[in-house]
Formats: sequence, C-alpha cells, structure tokens
Amino acid sequence: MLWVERVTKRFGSIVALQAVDMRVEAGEVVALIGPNGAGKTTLFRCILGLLRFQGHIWVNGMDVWRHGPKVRRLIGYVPQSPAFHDGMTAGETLRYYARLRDAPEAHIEEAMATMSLESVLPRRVQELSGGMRQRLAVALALLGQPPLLLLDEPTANLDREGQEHLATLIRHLTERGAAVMVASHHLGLLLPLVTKVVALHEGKVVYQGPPQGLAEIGLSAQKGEDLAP
Amino acid sequence: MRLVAFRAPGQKGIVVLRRELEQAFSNLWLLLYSLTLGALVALISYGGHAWLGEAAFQGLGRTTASLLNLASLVVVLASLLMGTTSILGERERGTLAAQLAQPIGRGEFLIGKFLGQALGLFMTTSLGIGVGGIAVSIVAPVDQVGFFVTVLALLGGLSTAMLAVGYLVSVVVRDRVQALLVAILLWFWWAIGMDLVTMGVMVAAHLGEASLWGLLLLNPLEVARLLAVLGLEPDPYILGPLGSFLRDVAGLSQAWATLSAALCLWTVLPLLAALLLFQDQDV
Repeated sequence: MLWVERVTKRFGSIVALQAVDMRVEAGEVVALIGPNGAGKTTLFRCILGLLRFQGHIWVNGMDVWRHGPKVRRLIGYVPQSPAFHDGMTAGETLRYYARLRDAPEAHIEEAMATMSLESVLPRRVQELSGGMRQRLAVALALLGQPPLLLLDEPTANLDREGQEHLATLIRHLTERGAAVMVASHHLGLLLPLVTKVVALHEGKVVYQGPPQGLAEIGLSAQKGEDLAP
Repeated sequence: MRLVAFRAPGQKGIVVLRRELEQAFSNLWLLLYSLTLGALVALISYGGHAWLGEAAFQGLGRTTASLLNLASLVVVLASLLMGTTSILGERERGTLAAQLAQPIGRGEFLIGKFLGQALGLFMTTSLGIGVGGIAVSIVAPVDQVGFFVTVLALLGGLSTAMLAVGYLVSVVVRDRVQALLVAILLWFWWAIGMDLVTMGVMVAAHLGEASLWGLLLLNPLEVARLLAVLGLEPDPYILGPLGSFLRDVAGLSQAWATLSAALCLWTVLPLLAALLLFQDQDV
C-alpha cells in the first residue's frame, strides 16, 4: 500500500527527516510516534506531496510526485489543526471537498452520518467547536472512501466519547481493508488497534515493529515524548 | 524544475473556480469595490459640469473618457491587493494545504482559483460601472455606448493582468504585510512613478517617440489607457507626437495589435511565472 524509501527532508540547515524507510500494508493500523519536532507531520506532508523531499514514496505503486492527484485520491488526511474556509458552512465544506474528491452524494451522507454531523451542517465552520471541527475533518478524509488514511493527532480535540467513536471507525475501516496511519503523542484509546509502531526521533526511525517490541527497548507507545534512541 | 501542464483547468479546476466565484459575491470588500466604482461613475458625470457651475449630469461618452483615468487606478489597486493575498492568504489559514492534499494538481488549482477570482473581479467591476452607467444614461444623454463597453472590457483586461501580477507576488512573498507593501509599491509605480521616470529619462537622454512607445508598453496601466484613447479617437492627435508616431510610423492597426498583445502578456507572463514557482514549492 505505502512504501517510503530513504526519505530525507531538510528545511534549510534543519534535517526534519533523515533516510526514513517504512512500509504500510492494507488493513494495518500504524502508529507514528515521537516527540514534538520528531518529523511526524513532515512525513505525512511528504506522503501527500505537499513538501519536496529526497528519496521515494509510492502509494499502490505510484510515485507521489509523478502521480500526485492519482495518489491523493487514495489518501484521506486529517491534519493536526484542521483548516476550513471561514465563509462556508459545514455542509458547503463537505460538498466542496466531495467534488474535489469525485465522491458521490452517497459518500457525503455516509460521512455525515458516521461523524454525526447532521445537526451542524447549516452552521458556518468558524462557529464550530474544536471537537466538531475535528469531526468535520475526519468526515472530509472519509469522502471517496480512500484505502489509506493519515490521521495527525486525531484525538487532540476529542473527548473520551469521541475517541471511542474514532476507534470504532478505524476498526471498521481496517476490516474493510483500509490502512490507517496515526501520528500522535498520546494514542489513548487507539492503542489497542495498533498493529505496528514507527517511532521517530529527530527525524530518524528509532523503532519499527509491533507495539510489544517497544517495551523491550524501554520505550512507550503511550508517551511519544519519552522516545530517545 | 518540473514542467507545468499547459492545459485548461479540468473538472477539479472548475470546482475551485466555482467556489471562488461564489465567494466573490459574498465578499464584502468586493461589494464595497463595486459600490465605489458605481459612485465614481455618478460623481464623474455630475462633477464634469459642476465645475462649470452647472447642476447637470454630463453624457455617457464624456463620463467614460474621464472615468478611465480614475477607475483604472481603483481597479489596478483592488486587483493587485486581491492577487497578493490570494495564495498567501490560503497558505496562512492552512486551507492551501487542505485543498492541495486532495486529488487536484497544483497547476489546475492555481488556474482555477485565478480564473474564478478574475471572473469575480470582472463581474463586480462590470456591475459597479454598469449600474453607474445605466443611472447616468437615465438622467443624461446616451452617447458613445460602444466606447463605454470598450472601456469596461479594457478595465476587465487590466484587472486580470494586475491579478496575475498579484498572484506572482503571492507565490513569492511569504508575509502578508510584505505582500501588501509590494502591491502598493507596484500600484504607485505604475500609477505615478513610472510616468515621472519615463519623462525624466526621455528628457535627459533625448529619446524619441519610438523609445517612449517602447517604455509605455512596460506600464500595463498606460497600455490600457492608450487602447482606450485609440478606441475613442480614430486619429490619435490628442496623444501629441506619440500619436503622430503611431499614425505615421508604427501604423494604427499595428499599434492596436501591439497594445492588445502587451496587455495579454502582462497577464500570461506573471501567471506562468507564478505557476512555475508554485509547482515546486513546499506547502
């Protein structure tokens, strides 16, 4: 599904990612953990083709730079701080992104129902609470039913109920064969779903394997801040 | 640097275009801009006779001739400001990354957004000036309707060119204050500064009309004004020695074609440069 091969990203003299290698297969839930500045968000932005980088990233065999729009059709992305056009309502936002993703009306209905957004559709996005904005961002990522979901700190604005809802959603998606990558400081209720952990520290992969293996090298998947090589 | 796909916006580009167009009609600034232009038409029509001590509106033809100079300044400033805050504003709000994370090419996104904003600007410009023109036509003689329409089209062309220049600034500059400053400096340069420098250079270097003609093409505002003058007067005697040069040496049809091509290039070249830079930028 996703191949990342020797990806290096520099911002001037700062090396944000250093020769990162990783693979994600269909049906996997991969936790990308690490402290602030470890390179989690940068890696997501490289996968989406938003940043230039050295190395290669393929999604379903397609290079992200060469086949940008085709690759992004396969990816649903929930950013750390969801951004919307303030003048638009939640409903207009859903329809706009659905058109960009070629998603049929049925997908809009499904995404709305899944994220319980029906009541806020006529409200302008700037009037929505942090939790509702997060739900809207997840709904947008689900449009077009992409086989790969990138979730950047998805639990940050969610209460316990919201986290449980998201965990259930991820379980359903992976049962349907989708792969999910979750970048987080704190996985919370998502931890039991994780099949693989990729730990980043200062742009380098310091661990890649099953969650159980982290404890063996003295790291915790629950607290990404503790990571150190 | 990757090659830009030189093609019309596809289906996704049209989605972006439509959104921009919808936003234009709910944008308070554009509404204010439209009202300003409409008020300007009415004021020019009334003011044209008021200074003679007559309380009457002057006809559409005279109003249009006066309108061009004033309206072009407003149109250029509004278009530059709109252009410079376009991509930059989306980048600052985070909506640029959100949209480019979707299955849409960068070129398609930029062209769709540009065309949507250009169309929105043209429609609000036409609305303001058009309503003003209709109001003047009710109370004053209706003459030279063709010239009025030509000036409206020229202002549309000028606003599109200035929007393209604004897009280039928006792609290059990463700070809103800097971008606005560049927009205002460009406006000042083309509205006043370049004319003064051109006159100074002409006098100091004893340059002829051919050089003046070449220098004027570097000022899109002057290009639009010259096109309007040529549209109004088949014999461009009011341009003085330059008019004689255009009539006798360059040829009027040649001058028309050169000016039209210059206005098109003022749109295409900055937009192309913006596309090339945007294609490979980090978002």
